[in-house]
Amino acid sequence: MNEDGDRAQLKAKLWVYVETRLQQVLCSEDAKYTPRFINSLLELAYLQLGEMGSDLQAFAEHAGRDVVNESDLMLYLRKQPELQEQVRQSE
Amino acid sequence: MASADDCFSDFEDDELDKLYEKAINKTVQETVTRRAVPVQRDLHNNVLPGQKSVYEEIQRDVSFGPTHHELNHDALSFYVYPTNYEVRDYQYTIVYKSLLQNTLCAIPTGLGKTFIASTVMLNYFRWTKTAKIIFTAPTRPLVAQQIKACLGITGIPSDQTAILLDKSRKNREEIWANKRVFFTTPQVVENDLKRGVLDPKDIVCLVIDEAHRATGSYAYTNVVKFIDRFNSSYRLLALTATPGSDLEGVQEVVNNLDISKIEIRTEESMDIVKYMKKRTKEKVEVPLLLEIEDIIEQLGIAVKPVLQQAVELGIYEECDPSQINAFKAMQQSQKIIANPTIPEGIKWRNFYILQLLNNVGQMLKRLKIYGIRTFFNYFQNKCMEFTTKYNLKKSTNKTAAEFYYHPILKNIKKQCEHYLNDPKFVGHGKLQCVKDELMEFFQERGSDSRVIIFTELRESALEIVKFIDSITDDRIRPHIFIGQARAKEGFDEVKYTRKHAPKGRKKTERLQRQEEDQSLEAQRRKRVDNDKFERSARRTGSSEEAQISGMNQKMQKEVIHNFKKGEYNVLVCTSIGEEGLDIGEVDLIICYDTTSSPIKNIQRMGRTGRKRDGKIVLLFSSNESYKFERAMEDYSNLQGLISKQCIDYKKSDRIIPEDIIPECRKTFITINDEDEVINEMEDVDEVIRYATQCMMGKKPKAKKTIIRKKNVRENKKTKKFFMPDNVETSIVSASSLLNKFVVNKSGEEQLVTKKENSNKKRKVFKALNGLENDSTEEASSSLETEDEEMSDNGDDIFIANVQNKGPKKLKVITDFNKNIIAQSKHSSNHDNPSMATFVNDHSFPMKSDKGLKIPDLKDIKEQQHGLKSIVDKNNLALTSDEKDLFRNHYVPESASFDVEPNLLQFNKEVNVAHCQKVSGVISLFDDERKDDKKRTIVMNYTKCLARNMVRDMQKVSEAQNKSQIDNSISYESSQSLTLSNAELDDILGSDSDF
Repeated sequence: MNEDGDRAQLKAKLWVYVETRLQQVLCSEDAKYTPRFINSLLELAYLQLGEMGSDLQAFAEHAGRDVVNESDLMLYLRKQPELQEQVRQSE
Repeated sequence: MASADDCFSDFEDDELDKLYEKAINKTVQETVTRRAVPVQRDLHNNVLPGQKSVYEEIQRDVSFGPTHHELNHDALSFYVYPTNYEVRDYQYTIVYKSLLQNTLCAIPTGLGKTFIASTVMLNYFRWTKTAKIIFTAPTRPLVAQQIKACLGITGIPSDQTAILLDKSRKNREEIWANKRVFFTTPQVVENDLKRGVLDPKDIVCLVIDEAHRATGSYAYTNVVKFIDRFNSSYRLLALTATPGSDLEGVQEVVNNLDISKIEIRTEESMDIVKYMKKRTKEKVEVPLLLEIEDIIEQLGIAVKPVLQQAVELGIYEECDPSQINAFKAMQQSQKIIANPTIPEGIKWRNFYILQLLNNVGQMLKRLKIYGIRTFFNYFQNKCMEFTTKYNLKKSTNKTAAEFYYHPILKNIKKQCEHYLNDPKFVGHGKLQCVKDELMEFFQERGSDSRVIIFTELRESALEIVKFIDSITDDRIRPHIFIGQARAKEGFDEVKYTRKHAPKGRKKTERLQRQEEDQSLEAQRRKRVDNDKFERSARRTGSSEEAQISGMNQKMQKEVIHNFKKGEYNVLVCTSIGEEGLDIGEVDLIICYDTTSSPIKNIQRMGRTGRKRDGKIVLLFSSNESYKFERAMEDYSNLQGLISKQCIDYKKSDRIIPEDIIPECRKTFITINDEDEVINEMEDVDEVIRYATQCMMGKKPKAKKTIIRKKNVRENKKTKKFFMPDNVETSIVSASSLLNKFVVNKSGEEQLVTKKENSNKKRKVFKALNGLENDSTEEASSSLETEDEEMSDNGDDIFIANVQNKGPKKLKVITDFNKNIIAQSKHSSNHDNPSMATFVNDHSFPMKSDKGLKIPDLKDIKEQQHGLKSIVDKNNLALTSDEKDLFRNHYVPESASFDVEPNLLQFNKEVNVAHCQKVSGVISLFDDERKDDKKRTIVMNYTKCLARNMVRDMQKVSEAQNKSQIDNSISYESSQSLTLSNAELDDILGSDSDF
């Protein structure tokens, strides 16, 4: 149950960030959003993150490591070299 | 060297004969008589297994047709028997028998086998006009000996003879073609037959010396087998002193050489005895020295526990420790290794035990037969080897360790060293005997006579030489005589330790080690040189030198020469002196040890008693006399068996017509002066040189010089393969050998006759015609052009080569692609869509009615830089006829390659679920669409938590120092959501923020 609780917390946190981000993105435009929309968006984001997480974990395991590190992320972003650059720069 | 095509061992005799029947004029008639035989049955009237119900008797009658050789009919009525030397009865009878049948002539060494051979060769030379006569012997000196006899005694004209030893291969073809009489070694004949340089049908007489070697796949056997395939009319004469050691051995030789008769004589045979000189045999039984017996007992004590263990395990027979037999132990150990059913651990333990017993057996043997020095060398070597390995933990053999570390062994070592340090010490009683014999002998005969001492081991030979030398009698001058092989280096302790010591990995350590190695090497070399120097000062120096590094042929010849001259008068030989080399006559032979091989014993003893009276002394120690008697008894039994017709013989071709019986004409043959010289020659090399000169036609006194120019070379003969007669020779395609079936209108399979087939096929294969006739050198260039050609075609193959072209090309190809796909769709109702697209229709580019702008192929070509333009594209493409043919006949059933993936056909259909993310997304949207309550609840819950978080964060930022925050937050987070249905509905109902 703890795991579920943690997951719920995580999702909630994510919810907050999604909302703030959405606000940032939409502040220039004239669109409105409902909570229901954020809910769905959150679910999507969560799924995406979940996949990303399992991918990174798989990469790290493949490299014989326990801990995910930067190289795993770079491998994950191999199809978007620009994004890779951005991530590196922000390091 | 047997090759696959020479190995017919799977065939039975009669099958072979049938094969050969067409090729050679040998007819085999088989009469088979069969008789039913009652079988044993059990109580239920079933036949018991493993019984034959028929008794078969097969009688083979072999007869030969007339020979294909050209015969001199006037010469056939008589045969020449040279009377230059005394006519001996046995030679006379044997010659007569050998002329008409294939004979194996087994008479003791030195009784004139050479003469018999030369007479037979001479007569076949006379009787045929152009046929070839070949004499083969395993070693050069034997060949030389025969040449001397043939040219110097029987007067075979030397300009028709050739000597072919290993040297050059260049002129061999011409030599085989032009000469008639050949003296060679068997491997030369084997190789030349296989190469097609020598035609087996030309051979009329083959003489084989030392024929007891014709076993297994020695060159003799292969040569005879090969000739038999093509020619049955040739006479084979086999010479040897000892045909074999047992009946099976002799039978094998008879089988391999197609012998019809064995003429065997021994020293006791009546017709031989009168020509032999007196030979006295003295057998001396030498008792063991007390010191030796003492050491034997000590070794026995040390090895007893191991022996007991072996006996208990059942791997070695019970015996007294001093009677351990090295050979038996080795045999047992080999048996164990070969047995696959024993588990590995036990196998190796037993093996090591037996190995130890083997070593101990060797030590005992040396003690008993050869003497303390020989024993001590071996003993020390083995001990050092084992202790070094054990100390370095390289070997963990506990049983051996118990033996080698036994305190008694130290005692033995001390004792031996003590004995050997005493210069007066005689290592074995036999040495004393040798000394006595030699002193007596030279007293009687004077120092002009010669002695040979035979022994098996090299160390023993050296010991004998040193011992004799220590007698310091000027009349007795010994030298060693051994083979060419280098002596095995004893175990080098220092080297081994260094090799296996733990090595450091650091560079400094490595450098250090290198330096040490170098200094050790330098030291060793200095020591070796020093030894050598010292040795040269001693009298026995050259013997010692020889023992260490072996004696090469030059050295051997030198020693023999000196021996004959008289510089040495005692020769101490190992087994190399027994057979082959012409050491000449000696007056005394001392056999220091005995072998179990009767052949060897006889060979040894045959070195004396031919031209002069001789004496043989056999020194026996412990069980040697028993060994000797048994060997000789076995051998005389063998003789009895042979004369009692216990051997299966083969029938031989008479060659001379049945009605002619040649009578003997004894003539004194005058040799012309030139060839007379050869009789004076003693040296093997001289004889060979002379013979080679004769062959090349460079005789010193010859008037006409046969110029062997390099440009007078006929066209190089293409390699001839000697084929049986009814063979088609050429390269034939496999498909032409098969029958073709065509499905005709009624749906039946109809055999397409060969003629039709070949026509069609020729047409179809036109495309490949160009390639077929290309030689391999041109292949690479043609391949390149093909590449380019193919790339220019509108083929599907084009697609594969896409990467070479630029982007412009790519576009064109994609257009082609579309076209191809359009085409395939068109013909998709065809059975084999892939085949249809592969069959390129050359009108392809012209079909621009599809609406695509396809630039002409030719334009494309010009765009490419500097590529060749294909003049005739039809070479590679198929005409419409050919296409039809392909479509109709060449339907691949099992394998097909689809140039374009056929999306209409598939083998297997499987439904696979989406990946996690995608299924999550799908379910999310599904739920949204359906307004799934559960989902909504969960999502709203998240929203609530989020809101709370936001609020708390705001609170935190407002009042940071309050520690209540943690509590409240944790309180919130541990809240689990358990709501009743009613509450659920309430919550659901409101879509507002809390």
